[in-house]
Amino acid sequence: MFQFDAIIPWLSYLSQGTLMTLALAFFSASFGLLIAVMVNYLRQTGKLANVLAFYIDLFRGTPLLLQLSMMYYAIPRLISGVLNSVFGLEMMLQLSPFQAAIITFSLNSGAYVSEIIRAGMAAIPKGEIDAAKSLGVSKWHIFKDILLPVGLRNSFPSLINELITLIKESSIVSLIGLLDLMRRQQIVTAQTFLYFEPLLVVGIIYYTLVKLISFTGRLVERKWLYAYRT
Amino acid sequence: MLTVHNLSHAFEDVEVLKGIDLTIEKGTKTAIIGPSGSGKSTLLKCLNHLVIPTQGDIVYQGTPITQENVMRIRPHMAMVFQGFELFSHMTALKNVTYALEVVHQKSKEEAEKIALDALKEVGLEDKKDAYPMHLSGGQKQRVAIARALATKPEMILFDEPTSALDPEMVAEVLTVIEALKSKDVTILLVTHEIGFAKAMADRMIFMKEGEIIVDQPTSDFFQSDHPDLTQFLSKIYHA
Repeated sequence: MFQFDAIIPWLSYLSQGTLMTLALAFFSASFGLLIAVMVNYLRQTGKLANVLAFYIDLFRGTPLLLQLSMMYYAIPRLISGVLNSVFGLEMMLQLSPFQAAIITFSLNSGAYVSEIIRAGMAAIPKGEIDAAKSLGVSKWHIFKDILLPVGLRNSFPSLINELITLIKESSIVSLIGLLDLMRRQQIVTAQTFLYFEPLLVVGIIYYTLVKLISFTGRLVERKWLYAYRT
Repeated sequence: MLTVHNLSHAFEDVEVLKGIDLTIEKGTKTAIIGPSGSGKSTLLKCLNHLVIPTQGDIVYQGTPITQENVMRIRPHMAMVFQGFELFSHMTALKNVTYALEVVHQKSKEEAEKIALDALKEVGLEDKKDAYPMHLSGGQKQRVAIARALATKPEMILFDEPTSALDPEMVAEVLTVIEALKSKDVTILLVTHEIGFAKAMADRMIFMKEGEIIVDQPTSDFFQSDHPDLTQFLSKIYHA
């Protein structure tokens, strides 16, 4: 019934997709976190409130697939067209699938993570912030030394959740031809006419990755993050 | 040193402070008492603009306190809160060194030396590496007092420093505050510990419904026959 021996030669090819999936998740999560931190700092200062709200609404309110298609197919052409018609520049901008994926996932993740961190910061007792203010601590130092470190710790389980989501959701890059885990499964299926076996292998790899991340997350929480609470 | 003129504050439609006038001289120890909701804590928080007054002036050492310059005045006017409000992710030592480093521009070594002295003063040198979570209420409040003292403030605002404590921990905190009686620092103390206020303060103020009702030297304060004050004191003594 099963032909696992037929996909053994493809195992190394499939597992190479793991690196692509991990790279996408790692870079997008890192840039997304950076964006979210900047969004929250700007929110503290009260600047650009409408722009920030629009950014978050936009990326939470439209499908990721639409955003990725926009970033890969539409936006570079739009910019090229504008440069051409306004400045007379003859150039055809094009993002690589990897660049388009990283930019889209970072912006998308940044929108969600902004809200996750906001919730983590909101859980900090107002009195602690008042105490810092009463000592003459500046807004920037309050953000950097109290709101951010404690807010990130409070949000840590949700941030791990977001990383897990990125690992799995990044599989839509197969639609713009990036050779991640899912895309490689499709290629193996096309070559071997087998569905179940490569899907099972890829499923096990995803599951193992997620399991490793959640295990590491728990370990970090227990050993380091909440030492001051227990 | 500090002059308050016609200070009012309203939370939405509720007037919490109604035209307070008050002058605090340098080095004096003033206690404010009064029933819950009388505006005592709000008055203290208006002084360092943690609550921004809706009306009135506050002049500190000749400088009117505004939103713009309050950051320069706060480092000289420390505050001790009812709920301690220690930075939960910092050790006792870091809680004390933090403002010294980022506000008073001390080096790490210098800040630690000052902080250790301050912790010693409140009897908690051995708890320097403990996080607030691992300290008792009384110990937390003593660290908070050390945090305030370490910055060598000209004035300290105590906002009901013992109200959130278990009864057996009140004395250890009051002892630490009482030690400040002989020092130059100006103290404004909101408290429900009438006996302590009597021993600590040279002047006492009774507030009710956002107004100062009685304001007298401690020796005369308890002789006052103002009906609101006598009624308040009788409630406390019969509690």
